[in-house]
Amino acid sequence: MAGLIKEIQQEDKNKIIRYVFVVGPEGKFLAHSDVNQSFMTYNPPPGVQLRHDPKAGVQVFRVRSAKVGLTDYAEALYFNDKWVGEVHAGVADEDIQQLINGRKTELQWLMLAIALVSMVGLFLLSRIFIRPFQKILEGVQAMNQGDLNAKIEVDSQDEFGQLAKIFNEMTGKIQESQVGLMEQERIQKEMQVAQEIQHTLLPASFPQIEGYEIGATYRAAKEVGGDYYDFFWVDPTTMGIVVADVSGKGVPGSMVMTMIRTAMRLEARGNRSASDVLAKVNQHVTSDMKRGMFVTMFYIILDSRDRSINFASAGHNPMILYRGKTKEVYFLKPKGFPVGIDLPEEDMFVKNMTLQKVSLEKNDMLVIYTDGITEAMNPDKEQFGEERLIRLIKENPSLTPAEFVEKLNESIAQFTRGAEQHDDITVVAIKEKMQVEQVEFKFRKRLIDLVEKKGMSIAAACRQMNISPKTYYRYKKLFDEKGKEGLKPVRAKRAELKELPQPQQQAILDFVQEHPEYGSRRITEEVGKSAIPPQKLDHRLVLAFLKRKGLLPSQVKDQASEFGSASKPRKPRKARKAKKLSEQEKPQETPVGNAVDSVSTQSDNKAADGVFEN
Amino acid sequence: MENISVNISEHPQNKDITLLSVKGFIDTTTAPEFEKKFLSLLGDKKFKLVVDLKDVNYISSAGWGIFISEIKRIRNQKGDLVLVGMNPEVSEVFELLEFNTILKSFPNVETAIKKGFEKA
Repeated sequence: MAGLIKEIQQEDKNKIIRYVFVVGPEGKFLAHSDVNQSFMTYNPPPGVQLRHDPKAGVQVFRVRSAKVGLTDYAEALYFNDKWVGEVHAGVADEDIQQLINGRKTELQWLMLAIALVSMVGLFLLSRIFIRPFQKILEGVQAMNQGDLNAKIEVDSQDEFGQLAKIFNEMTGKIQESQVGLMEQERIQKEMQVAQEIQHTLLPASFPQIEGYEIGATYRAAKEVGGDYYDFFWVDPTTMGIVVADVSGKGVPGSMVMTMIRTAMRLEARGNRSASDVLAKVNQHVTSDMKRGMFVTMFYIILDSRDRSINFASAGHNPMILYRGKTKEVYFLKPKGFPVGIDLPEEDMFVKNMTLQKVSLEKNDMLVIYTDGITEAMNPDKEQFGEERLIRLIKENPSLTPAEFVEKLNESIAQFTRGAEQHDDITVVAIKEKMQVEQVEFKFRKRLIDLVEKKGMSIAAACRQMNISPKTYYRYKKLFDEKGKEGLKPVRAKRAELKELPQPQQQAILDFVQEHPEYGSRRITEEVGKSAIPPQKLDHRLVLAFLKRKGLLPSQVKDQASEFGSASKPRKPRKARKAKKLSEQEKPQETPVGNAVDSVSTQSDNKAADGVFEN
Repeated sequence: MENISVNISEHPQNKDITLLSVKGFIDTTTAPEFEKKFLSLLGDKKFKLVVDLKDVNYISSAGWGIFISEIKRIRNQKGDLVLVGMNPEVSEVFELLEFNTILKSFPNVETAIKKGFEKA
């Protein structure tokens, strides 16, 4: 028995069993962990009351008398269903607590150890995985905030290393394109400024000149374009209007434009010969212009006194004249090289340039334009063309010039259907609203009124109206003889338009192509007959036209050794013929030198005075 | 340059005549390419030039500027520049700008070689 106890005690490695004993049927200890208690009588302490029941198993009691919390585990012992005693084991609470605490501490240590191991593991893991991730993240964030210099420093060979490499390459490329983009933006901004400057150089408003209505439109292509138009006063009753197209676009074109504008304004003042002005402008700018650049210009001078225009062209598109009375369209294009070319011979520009003069009648309209109009392209790569322009003019004879250019704008917008245009678009339209006699009458009456009604001295009145006293006395005589009626001019002399209208020119070209062998008289006759209704053409005009086009039989023979169109004997070109019909009559052309003499050197109103028969 | 090609060759019989065969179009974008070749020819003292424009469908003013820009120098060197085989549209602008009174033009290379340098 004592051996058993010992064994139990040995088994109890944690020493939580305070006592263990066996009580025999006589109530004496048969064995006890405390040897001194052996064979002493067992007095169950308060709280321990073992039921003698073979099926009760282990019974648990709190020992109430003990100073420390003590639990007694007891079991009744039976042998052949006979109660033979009981066994008790006591366990102190504090021991259990201690044991638990001990275990707890152990567990805490264990957990701490696990935690430490995990942290080390995580740290190592982060070295391998998290850190590269973080660097990539940092890089991406930096880039997101606009730092394109951000580089990811991951030098491993794994996927992270590859990712970092790709990222670095990508930022490099983005940076490159960003730099390019910034440069582009800068240029674009500068271009915009250039464009704005250019816009400020265009006339802000239309000038008011008596008896003319003027409308103009300018629309820049995407780039700063080289188109330009301008109005200026040549003298108090005469206005100059210029439309120009610089061959280069962008800033160089714009700068040339500025140069031309200045030269024009300088030369136009007081010079009443359009060709002479262009010749002088050419002289001014040619040496300053970049080689290979040139400017086509159309310059027209409106004389509000005698209601005539004179004009010259420097290789520019023809001016269209629409005659309100006959509803005919004419292309007017005096000869002239573009401005700014370093020509093989010094005087070539002046020699080649011609001046034309035409009197306008009421409701005549002039349209000056740049090739941006006719070459306006739609998405199908078709051009707006001259025919549409002519049709628009013919279909809208009652529009004011402002309304007409607006209509033309709309028409082009409709045609191009939003396709981006590569060239500027410029149109100036001028409409004659007066008859020359009417203007002259008003002028004369004002002059007489100044003296008769306002009491101005004759000298002052002549000065104000810019005429000679001799002219005053002529009008005064007419006034004294017939009163107001006497001031009405009978009919003014007119600078007639010596030009075939556009359809007749076309008919001639078509006819010549079919009958290259016919002479000018036969052509005149045949084309006149086939017209609907038949017309009698002016042979001189036909002859001049044929000559200008190099289509006379004699010219065709000589052509092999001639310049220019020589290569295409008597074969008028079909494509966009209209433009080619534009050149002007020889008889009207005056070499610049002469034009200077006959027009610009004369005192303006004295020249005008001579125009009227009375 | 995909929009322009300039082929330069010596004329077999007339070694002092250089033939420039241009294909494509000459506008603001392609003009510099053409100009480079053109100027390098002048640099090599080739002043008798036949420019074949048979396969050119468009010449913008930038292109025309090149033809006309060096004509004075070319003529001063007793050379000339002649144009060949312009299509109607190209020729139309050529005449509008009145360059037909400055430059000679011919229907084909043979005539140009035969007649183009008579006075030069």
